[in-house]
Order: sequence, then structure tokens, then C-alpha cells
Amino acid sequence: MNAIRRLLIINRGEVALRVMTTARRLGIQTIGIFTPDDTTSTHVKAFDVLHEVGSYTDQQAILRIVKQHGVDAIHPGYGFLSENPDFAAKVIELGVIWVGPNLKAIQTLSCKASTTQLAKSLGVPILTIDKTKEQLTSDDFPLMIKARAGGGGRAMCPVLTKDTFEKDHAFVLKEAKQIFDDESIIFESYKENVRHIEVQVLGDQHGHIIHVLNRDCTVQRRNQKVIEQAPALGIDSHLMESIYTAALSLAKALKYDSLGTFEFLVDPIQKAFWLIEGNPRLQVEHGVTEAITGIDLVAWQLKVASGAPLTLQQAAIQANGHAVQARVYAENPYHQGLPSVGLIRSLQFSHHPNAQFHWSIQSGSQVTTTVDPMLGKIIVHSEDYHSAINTLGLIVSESFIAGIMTNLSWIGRLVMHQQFIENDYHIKTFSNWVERENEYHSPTLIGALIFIITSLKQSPYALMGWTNRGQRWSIIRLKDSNQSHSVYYQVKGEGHIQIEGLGNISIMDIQPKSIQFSINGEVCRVHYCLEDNQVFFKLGHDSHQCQKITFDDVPVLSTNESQSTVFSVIPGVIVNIVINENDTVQKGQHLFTIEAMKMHHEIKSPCQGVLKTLNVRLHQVIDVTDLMATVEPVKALSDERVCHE
Amino acid sequence: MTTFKTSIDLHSKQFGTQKKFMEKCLNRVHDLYEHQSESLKPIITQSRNNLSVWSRIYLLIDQESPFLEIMPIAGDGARPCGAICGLGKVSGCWVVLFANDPSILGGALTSYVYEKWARALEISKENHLPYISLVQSAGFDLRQKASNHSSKNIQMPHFGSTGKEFYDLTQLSANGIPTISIVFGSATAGGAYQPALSDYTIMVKDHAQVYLAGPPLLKMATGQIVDGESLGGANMHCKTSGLGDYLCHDEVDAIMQCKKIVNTFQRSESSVLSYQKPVYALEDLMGWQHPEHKMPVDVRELIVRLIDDESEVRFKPDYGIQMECGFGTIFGHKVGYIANQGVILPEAAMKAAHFVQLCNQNACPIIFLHNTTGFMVGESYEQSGIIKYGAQLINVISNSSVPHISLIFGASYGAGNYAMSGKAFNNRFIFSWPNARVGVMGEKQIAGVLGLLKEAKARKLNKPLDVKEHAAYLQAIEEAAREDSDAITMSRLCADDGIIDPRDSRTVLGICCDIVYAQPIVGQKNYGVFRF
Repeated sequence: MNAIRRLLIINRGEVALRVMTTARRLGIQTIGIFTPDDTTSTHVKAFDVLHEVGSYTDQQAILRIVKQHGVDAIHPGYGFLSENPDFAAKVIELGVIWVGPNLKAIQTLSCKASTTQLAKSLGVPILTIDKTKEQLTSDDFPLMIKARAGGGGRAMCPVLTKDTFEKDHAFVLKEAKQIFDDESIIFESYKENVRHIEVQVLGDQHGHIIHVLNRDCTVQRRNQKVIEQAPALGIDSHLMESIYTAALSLAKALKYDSLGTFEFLVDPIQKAFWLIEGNPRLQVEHGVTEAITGIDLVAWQLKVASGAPLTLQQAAIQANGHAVQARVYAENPYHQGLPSVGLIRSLQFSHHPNAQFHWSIQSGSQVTTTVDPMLGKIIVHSEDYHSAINTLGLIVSESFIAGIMTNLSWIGRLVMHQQFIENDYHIKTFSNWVERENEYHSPTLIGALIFIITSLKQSPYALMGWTNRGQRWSIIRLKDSNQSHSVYYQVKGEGHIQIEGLGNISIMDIQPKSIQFSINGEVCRVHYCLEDNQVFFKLGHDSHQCQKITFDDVPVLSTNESQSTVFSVIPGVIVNIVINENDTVQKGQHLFTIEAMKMHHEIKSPCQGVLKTLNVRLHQVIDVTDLMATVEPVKALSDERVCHE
Repeated sequence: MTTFKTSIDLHSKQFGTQKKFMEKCLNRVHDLYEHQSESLKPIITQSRNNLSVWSRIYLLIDQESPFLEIMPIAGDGARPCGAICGLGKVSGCWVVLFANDPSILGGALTSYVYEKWARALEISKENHLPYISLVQSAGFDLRQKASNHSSKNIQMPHFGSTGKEFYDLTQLSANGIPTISIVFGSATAGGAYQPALSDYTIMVKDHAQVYLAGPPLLKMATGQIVDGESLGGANMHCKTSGLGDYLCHDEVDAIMQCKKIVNTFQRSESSVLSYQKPVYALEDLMGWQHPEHKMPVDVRELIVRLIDDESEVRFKPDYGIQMECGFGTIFGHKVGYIANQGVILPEAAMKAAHFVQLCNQNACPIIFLHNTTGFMVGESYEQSGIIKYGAQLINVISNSSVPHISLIFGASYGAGNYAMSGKAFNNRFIFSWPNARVGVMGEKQIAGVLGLLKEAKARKLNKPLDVKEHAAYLQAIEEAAREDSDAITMSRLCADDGIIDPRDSRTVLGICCDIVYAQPIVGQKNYGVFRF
């Protein structure tokens, strides 16, 4: 047995912190890495010994650190190099412990084809259609095209009918090349009415293998897991047992000697299941398993890596209560998950005895397109499913991330969704679901209210807006995402304000980060973050922001602008330009594709007309609101971009 | 909490009647406000030009700033004055605003406009406040020659004695007080010197026109025919003559430019002061006083409603009780107050004179609360030297160098008015309640005195008076004197800074304190010769 004394953690944010915490508890010294554009990540300040690297997958740099510091083990976390057998082989070659399974297991599980091959040989059901592109018949549809090296929901595409096959095939091929540098493609039969259930397995180098129960990761958005729970509910116990058996048989076949996961699609009604993949690493959602079993999975992962025997017995593993995890992503939930970038102004969470927070960001973190859009996760462990999801809902409703858009509002509404409450859903149910909250009040007016209320501290109420002739109306000028507004208000006396369009407001409590007030008798509390002339606030579940216009007045835009402008909506790289100057374009026609945060975004023509200027070139890096092109509309008068004052 | 217990019975019949009278007085004031409806709400026009004078003012002052209007009802009673003067905060800095109102005679400079203008400059100078002119005026009111010559109106002075305003403007600048002109429209002849003599000049493109002689006069003088824009347009002045410093796209732009300029001025950082609100409300004083000021009122009822709770330290409470003196704070600002409790007796005069010196030692502004029929008369008082004591008080008041703020909440007669730092006696601000009375003496006394003189003359000439005729004569004198001493007449004729709603008294005094505290306060060490 080789005890680990110095562990290099080659990951970032919350997972680096998670591994560090357990390592330190076990008396292991930890060393971290970071990239120059990721200095505001939470893990950077936590390490005493930290190395700058060009990227989290910079193998050369990492191996240099290993040698320099006499590192005796590497923990890869998840993502990045965690499933890279070549790198693991290099590490092992140096005589350094790879905190993960044996090389053969990594090689098998990091390749879809080998995984399914193994499953097939063991009689574990699989989705793979063993045909070439040419051999496919209409009976094989709907099917899924996937990169052989794929994972994380990327480079994959469902094809419902044969008609769209060619286009989708080309897309996956391109992504596979871009992301994994491997053009091999596989086909799988496509299931909709199924749940995503995975089995946590744990083995040691002495042949002892157990499973640490299951997890349900059925709530997904665009193939990304959002909500994960343990234990999975509504699965027949016999069916679950056969899934455990399948997972263990796979693990045994691989002589699995670490922490790993086998993921299945399960049809609870047909009582059928299919293996989709195996992950030879720690999963993002391991926390829910830890919560219900009380087992520190990372501790066992480190212990067995050093050769220690796994002393846990299968029979001793019991579920206690229910745990749910929500992944918080930087995205605009109303805009097909359009990535949201910017500076995190403030991170406000109400503490709860049953909740844990794991953040990769903090106040002052810069969220860019180059880092993972997952900002962190919230884990709730409670007595049962309903109290767990209700607690999650409560925490989300009291949480506020100021500065960027997040999916918190989406999670907040999901936990109130009847199908979710009743556990009656499948992997596609919430995939494209989005629900906007009824806005009782205009966010801009609430933004104005925050500016007004926070300015009240500065002079006595009796003097505010007073004139000899009565209380005057003041104007506060604000700019939200695309418009400027003039909001009229009148201070009516101590703690009372009238805002045109909103009504009579009584201020009840002013705190540095939240205010409580009543609007025409209805009381609410709004969390906010004020930075100079910008306010970020949360109304219901939604985050908003607006800016106070002070000296620099926004000039009125001409209403008879004869050209329409095409702006970028997101920072990223232009990966496709499908038009040329002087081309005729239709309203809504696809003009450009921008890649940002692993996703492609189409930029469309705002109107029908002729493309007058093309201001960008292929592979150009562009920022939000960069001018991309101008279109001369067919009609001389365009109603686009008229200033609303 | 204050130990003072009010003795005002809000539910008495008398309170109700007296309150109605007060409201009636207040309504008469409100009737004289021009454009009342639009004077509380700024409107930004689509073109962002041709804004009303009120919109210009309210866009210029800070969102939360109060606006203390000076002489709001100045005028002949028929037509409002064509200019607005007031104090507000711009970019966090108290400033004096003087704005022509082009909607009244094109903003022509009437005698009332001159009075206000002079007052605006005086306030700026005395309180060391930046002076901002919002210029758009047709110029000197050439029709003045034809206006009525009633004694109840201010007459236009002879041209030979005019021009003080321009002199004052140069003096402000010489004293380090910044002056800014925003030219919204035309500023001709004399008006042209207003921007020219200002430290900063902002002009609105296509609207501002500044020239010594406008196209009509030019044609009369030289026969030259030129359009206004080439003669004195904003564009020409900002690019060619250099008279304009900032050429602005529109009025809103010009106002924002002005805010930017004020933002560069030096100012003392105002700190947020802590204070406790008074326990009692000023609203309770609406039916407190008898319309004729016949029934004495306890001025302590007013004091406890003006001063922050638990801040008061009374001075010599058992001596000279006709003058209440003491220290306290208003919105956290330290002040001394001197308040009348009726007629002034020698001890009261001595106490007040003593107290003024304390305030000067203490660099503390003084609030004067007027309600006096004057100094006590009578043989024994004359013998005791009441005039000497009055003179001592007037001397110490006149030479006191701490800011004085006067509020006339009742009567203010004769030398009592002077001794309480009246209009001519060294105050920074003087406001009145709508029921105030200011005069040489009460109207009954005036009528009585004139009646006695007439009777004496009649006796001398041995011509007995017709009783009925004499009564009518007395009645007429009394009425004329009553109208003359009425707060509205006084305020209309610019003899105070304005009539305020009694309920706003604390607010107004608070604003004044804020303004006077923006500059260091230095007490007087040398007074004139006292006659003991």
C-alpha cells in the first residue's frame, strides 16, 4: 500500500474544493492548478500551493508540476482530463497514483463502442444499433447519433425521421471533430419515455466491489443534467436489483478498483433498461449519494487508489431520507439557455440546516465563455422527497445571484411543476419546458423603486422633493436591456412614495441587500445589489438589472433610420458566415453562427432587405453588441430600434 | 421625550373656526401661484426643447432635492412675476436658481423680476452659493411706462439707478462664487451681459440668441438686416465669438451639462446627521391662533414642534419670560432660537441680547420666531430705559455675524420687528405664515392715533367732528392699515422671502439650516458701542 501524501488536484472550482476538503481531512497535502483567465474561481484562494497552467488540460505543464513537487497522486475531478486514458497512462508510468480505476477500465469506459461491446458480451441491454450509416432502415428511427468519444451531452443529436438524418449527421461529425478530435460516430435507438438512472459503484484493488445505490438524473435540459436525486423513486425493486446486478457485472468484468458510475435509461412501466455509458471518475452528482448514505465517496476513492481495502460491505449500505441536487448554470432560461456572462456582483443564499452549497464562483468572479457554465450546486438532504424538493424551492426563492442570468428561476418554477411534484416525468419532459412568471409589477419600476428607496437615507424625508407649492414629482431615468425609461415619483412623507404606474408604496424595512415594502397594500421583499448606477435585483424568481442614467444622456435615435443593424447577442467566435455582401435576405434568415460556451448560436436578419455591409470575418472573436452587419430594409421605414422615451 | 405637554385642544370649536381662518389665508396664497398644476411635475417634451420653466428647474435640481422658492407670490396681484427664484441642490451642492419664465410676458424684466433678481444675487452672495441663471427673456419691460402707479405696486426704478444686478454678478465671481448661465432662448441687450458676466455659459443650439441689439433694433440703428441666428445664435457664440462655452444639442442636454459643471465645484461633504423627530405635529398649530392675534399663544407650542426632540436646552427660562431663548437642533443642525412671548420688556430685551452674544461665541445660527406687538410703552418703562434696551438688542442683532433666519408666525410690529432681525436687519432668510401681520403698529392703534390727532386738530380749530364721518374715517384707515400689514401684501411686495404653510415650518427652517451650514460660521467678536 502506497499512502498518498501529496495530491495534485487538476481541476477547478467546486470539485477542486470538494476533493481538497476530504484530502485535508485525511492528512493529505494538496496542490492546485489554475489558468490565467480563471483567477476568480473559488478554488484559487483555497490552495496554499497553486500552479498556473495554460489550460486545465495542459498535460505537459501538469506532468512538470508532478515532478517538481514530488506529487504522489493526481485527482482529476470530473471533465477535463478525468477520462483521458493516454494521460492516465503517462501518470501511471511516472509511478504516480491516478485516483481512478485501472487503465483498462478507463480505456473501456471512455470509449462508447468498447463499453457497449463489453455490455453486449455480458448480456447487459444496450441501445447501440450495430449498423453502418448505409445499413440504417426506417425501422431504426427514431435514433440518436453520438460521437464515439462523446460525453457531457455534447456531439450528439436525436434524429426522429430519416429526412433530417444527413444534416444532423454532419453536425455531430463536425462537433465530434471539434471537441473530441475524433470523427467516429455511433448510432443508438432513441428512447423518450424513460428515466435516467445511474448506479454508483465502488471497488478496491483486492477484488471487492459494491454498489452505493442509485441516482435519478432524469431532469435534463439540452442533454445536460440539472436536477439529480437519490434514491431514484418509482422504480420497481426487482427491476432496480437487475440494474444493480448489471452494473456490478460490468464493474467486475473491468476489475473495477475505484469510484465509478454506470448510467442507464430505464423504462419503469415496461420494466426495461439499457446501459448508456460508464464513467470512470467522480460525478458532479456524487453529493446526493453521500447525503443519503453518509459515506464520503471521495475518501474511499483516495483510499482504494492507495491500495487500501474497501471495508464497506454491501449489506451495510442503506439510504436515509432523500437528497436532491440542483446545478446552477449561467444561462438565460428564457432564451434557449443562451449563456450569460459577466461579473458576479453578489451571491446571496439563505443558509438552511439541510442544505449544502458548492460554488465555483464568488462575489467578484468573472463568468466568461471560456469557463464551465456550471456555477455551482445546491444539495438538499431531507426526510423525504417532498420536503427535499420543497426545501430546494425555498432556498432557490431566497437566493440571488446578481450580475448575470442563471437558471435559478427555472429551478424555482420546476419545483412547483405538478409533474415534477408527482414524480411523473421522463428525460424529455423538461428538456424544452420554460415558464415565465406572471409579472405583477414592471421590473423597471421596481428597479426605480430600489434607486429611490436607497437614496432616501441621504436626506431627511421631510425635505425630499419638498417645494413651497407641495411635494413635487421627480424623474428618475433608467435604462434596462434595450430601452430608456423616465419614471415619475413623488415622496409623500415618511416612508411613503408614489410611483407612476406602480401606485402607493410604503417602505417597511431597508437593509443593505434587501428592502421590504408594500405596493397598494401587498407586501414584498426584494433582494438587490447596488453598484454605482446599476442595480441588480430579484423579482419573484427572476433576476433583473437596470441602470440609472445620470449625466450622460442617451441621445434619441432617429426614427427613420433606413438601415437595420445586426448586433451580436453574445461574446464568442464566429464559426460560420452564410451570406455575402449585397445578398438579399429575408426577415429571420440565418446570417451567422457564433460559438460560445460550447454552444452554437444563430444570428438572424432583423428584417427583409439587402445585406449592405458585412463587418465580421470567419473565426473573429466578437463581443456582445458588436456590430456584425447592416441590412438595408426593403421598406424605407423600419420600426426597429426606435427609442422609447 | 420632551416633558412639554401641549395645551392645544384639537377638538374644540374654537380650534375648528381658527383652523378654517388659517386655511382661508393659505388658499389666498395658493391662488396667487401661477401654473400651479404644472409647477409640480417636470415634462420632457418630445423635442426636448421649449420646456416649461418648472421642467427646466426640476430637471436641473437633483432628484431628491427640495426646492425652496423665494418670493413665490411677488407681483402686482394680477399677473405673476416673470421669473422664478429658489434654492435647490444640483449635483449635491446647494445653489441659487434664477429662471426667466418665458410664458409670462416673454420673460420680460418687470419691477418684480428685478426685485427677485436682486434677492437671488443677495442670497447667493450671503450664503456663498453657486448662482445659476436659466436665461430666456424678452429684456427690459418697455411697457412699464404705461403701467399703473398704485401705491400697492413696486415701481420700475429710473434707468440711472439700475444695473446693480450686473455689478453683483461680477462681485459673486470675485468672491469665488461660481456663476453659470444656461441660455435657452433670447437674451438681448442688458440680458446679454448676464451670460457674458457668468463664469460658465451654456447655450442651446438653434434656440439661444444673445446680442446687444436684436434684428429689429439693429435695423433701427444701422439699417443692417441680419437674421437672429447669424447675429447671435448659439452656434456662432460657441464657435466664433467665444461668448458661449458649451454648445448643447437641446435643453435637456444643456441642463445635464450644467449638472456636470456643478459636479466639478468644491463643496464640503455633507454628513448624514442623526436627530429625533419632534413629538408633536405642526398640523396642531393650524387652529392655534386667533385671527386677530388677540389671544396670547404660548410660543413653546411652536418651539417643540420645530426643534428635534430631546435636543433643547432652554436659556434663562425664569427670567425675561417675554423672550424664549434656547439651543436645540433642527434635522440635526445646531441652532439657537429667540421667540416672542408677547410684548418685549427690558429684562426680555437684555436676555435676548445676552443670548445673541452666546450664539456668536458658539458659532450657532439663530432662528427668530416673531410674535410681538413691540417694546412695552409707558411712563415707568420709558424711565427704566426701554429704548436703551431696545437699542442694545438692535445693535447686537445688527452686528451679529452668525446666520439669522426669521419666521413671522404672528404679529411683528414696530421696533419689535427690527429687534427680531426683520427684513432690513441682517437676516439670511425671512418667511411668514399666511396669518402674519407686519407693520409699524396694529391697525386699530394706527386708526386710533390718527383719530386722536384729528380730534385734537378739530378741537384746536373749534370745528366739531361729524361723529358718523369720523367713524367712517377711522374705519377706512383701519382697513387700509390692515391690508397693508397683511402677509400677502407684504410678500407680494417682496418684503419677505415668502409665505409658507405653517405645517412646512420645520422643513423650511431645516433647508435654511442646511444652506447656512454649507459654509463655515464665524461669530462676531466686535459689536458697536452699547449704551448702558
